[in-house]
Amino acid sequence: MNSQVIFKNKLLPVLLILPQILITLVFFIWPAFEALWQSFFIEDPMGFHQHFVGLKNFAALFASHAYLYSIVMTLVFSVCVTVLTMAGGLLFSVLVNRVTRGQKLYMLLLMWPYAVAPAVAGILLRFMFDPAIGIAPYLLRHVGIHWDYHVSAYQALLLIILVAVWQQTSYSFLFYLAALQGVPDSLHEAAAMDGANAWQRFWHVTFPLLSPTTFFLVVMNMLYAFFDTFGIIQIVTQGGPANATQTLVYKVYNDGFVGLDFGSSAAQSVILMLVIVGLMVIQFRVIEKRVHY
Amino acid sequence: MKRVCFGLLLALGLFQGALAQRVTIHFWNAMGGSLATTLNGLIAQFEQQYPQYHIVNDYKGDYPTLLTSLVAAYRAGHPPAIAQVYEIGTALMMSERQAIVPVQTLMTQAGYPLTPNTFLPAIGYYYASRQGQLMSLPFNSSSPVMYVNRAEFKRAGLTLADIPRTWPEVKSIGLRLQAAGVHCAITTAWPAWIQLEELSAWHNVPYASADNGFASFDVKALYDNPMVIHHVAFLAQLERQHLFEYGGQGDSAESLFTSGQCAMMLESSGARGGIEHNVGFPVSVAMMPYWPNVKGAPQNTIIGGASLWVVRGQSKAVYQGVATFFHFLLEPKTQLEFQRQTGYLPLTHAGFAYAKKLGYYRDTPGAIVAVRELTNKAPTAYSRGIRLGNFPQIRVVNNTALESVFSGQATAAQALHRAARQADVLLNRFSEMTQ
Repeated sequence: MNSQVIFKNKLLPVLLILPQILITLVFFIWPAFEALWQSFFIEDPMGFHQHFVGLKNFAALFASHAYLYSIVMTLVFSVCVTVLTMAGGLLFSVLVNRVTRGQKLYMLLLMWPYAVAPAVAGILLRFMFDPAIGIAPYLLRHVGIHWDYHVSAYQALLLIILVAVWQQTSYSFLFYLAALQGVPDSLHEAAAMDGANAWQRFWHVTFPLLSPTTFFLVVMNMLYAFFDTFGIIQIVTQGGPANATQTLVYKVYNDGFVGLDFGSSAAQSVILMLVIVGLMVIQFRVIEKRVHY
Repeated sequence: MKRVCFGLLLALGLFQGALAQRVTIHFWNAMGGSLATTLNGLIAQFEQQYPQYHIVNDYKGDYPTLLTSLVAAYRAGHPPAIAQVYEIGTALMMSERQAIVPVQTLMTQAGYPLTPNTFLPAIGYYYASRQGQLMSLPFNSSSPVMYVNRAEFKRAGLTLADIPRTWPEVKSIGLRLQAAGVHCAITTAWPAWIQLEELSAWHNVPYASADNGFASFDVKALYDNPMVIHHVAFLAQLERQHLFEYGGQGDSAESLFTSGQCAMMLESSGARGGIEHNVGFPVSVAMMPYWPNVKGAPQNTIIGGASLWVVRGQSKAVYQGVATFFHFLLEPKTQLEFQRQTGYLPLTHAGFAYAKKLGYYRDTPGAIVAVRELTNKAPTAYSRGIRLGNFPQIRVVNNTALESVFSGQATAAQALHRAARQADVLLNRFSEMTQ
């Protein structure tokens, strides 16, 4: 069976993909080149004088303690968010998949957080965890924990991880649930007849069958943690305290739009692009080999 | 029917014609909440008095957002006529000479001559160029003051006479408050501004080289000196004794005071209106404490807040309108109303004299405190202001440094030395950017 569609007209396929190509060019490729270009210059905010400095912007970044810290912090944050959301999503989806009554209701409730706008989620948790007026610090005081994420770097990091995980778990849940429903019952029955218990059946039958979904979710959650958590950070911590929650993306914004240092901000964007490309290459080369489709 | 329609159309056309003759002036500002109400009131008054002008009150968010929007709009070729820029954006605006019209030039050409001497000294010279020309119009000016919760003082058996004047007194009074069960004695809003910048001016200690950046953009940070280090270490010590509570960067510490947890707070005088409206206890305003062992202290405070910059590229009619609007804002009557509603400071000598004559400071004793601080002594090279490039980022660095002290990660000396060197990098970067 030949599933390949062949266009007789050479122009038609080009025309059909043209809108996508245009969008990519205008919104992705062009700005990317603009950033690359700008990263070699130092200029004043209003743009009256611009001078070429070669790789000086990059050298300054790698000499700055704040930037190196931001790299480490972003990696810690992303790994935590990815692992926790996926573990949570898997757990909830397995549980919901076993429920026979009211499954729809559980699904609805578990998917709810994903529909909440990041800004709203941030505000909600900021209220709950505000050291002066929040309910959580009040309760934590009873167990002897002094909660003040304005001061404690760990608590601030913990809080933004919590907000991100609370939001993003729904996403993993949804995909895992769909994947679980695609696992044929016959495999389970066969394994059960061979004497495998529930845990073994899950670990040796179900989980390997979920590997394409797991791989997809690792990629998506990593991307989420890197790029889509800006809103949460802006609302909850503004990168503080002591820049403890300043991710790479937040720093690009902070140096470029608050600091108006376009050269350094552009250089950071370029590095960020390279980091992401690197991450994707590693994930597709190394991890995809272990995925069973 | 046809005739009626025609008549209506004609009337509409005439009406539009009348509207079109009004000169529209875009005024970008960062005045939200109750400040927006005040500003709208002022604009309505102005338009009633000068119906040929229409001021568009464009609220652009907070100060950093406004500055970012201004830069973007200027680059795109659609800047507003007036932009409100916070005091720490002053060096940046002054370095972008090609983008602005100096206010002194604008006002003189429009027939409303003024100089920095029109204003109270600590205000006029803050916004004057090296040549002594007034570059922007001082607008909402404030100075940090100490707010006191009188109910908590009463609970501890303290009176108004016990309000601390010096930092050692803050500690001794704080201990008495603590003994009476007060959760925390003192907190501070805007840590980097109040605890480093204002502290330096208040004690006449240099904050940066080249006369705090007024003489040149080639500047080095000098605030990691023994006086400042000692003060920050003292605050950290108060914190360990639970006398001082750190409430975050910005003004988030305000909730510690308004919720009654902290009995005293250092915060901008501009917040007075909001605080007095929002709390259920009597509030007193007092001068910032000082260190009695520093010679000549207290000196005078420097202003915070923002000024109005006039952007290039507008028509002559618009500039005439801008000048008329500025003239209106500087009328003593307008200034008094602005002070009354917001807690910001009087700007001109005439405005101050007028408010005094009408007994405003007698009826509202809280309002005079900031003026007294500002005019306590004639400003010196180290107390008339601080003009640094990349100042917003330097504030972030300093807030970060203070935070690391208050969270116990670093000592005051370590944190301030590190911060000052980071500031040097930023200052150097700014002089490169503006070359």
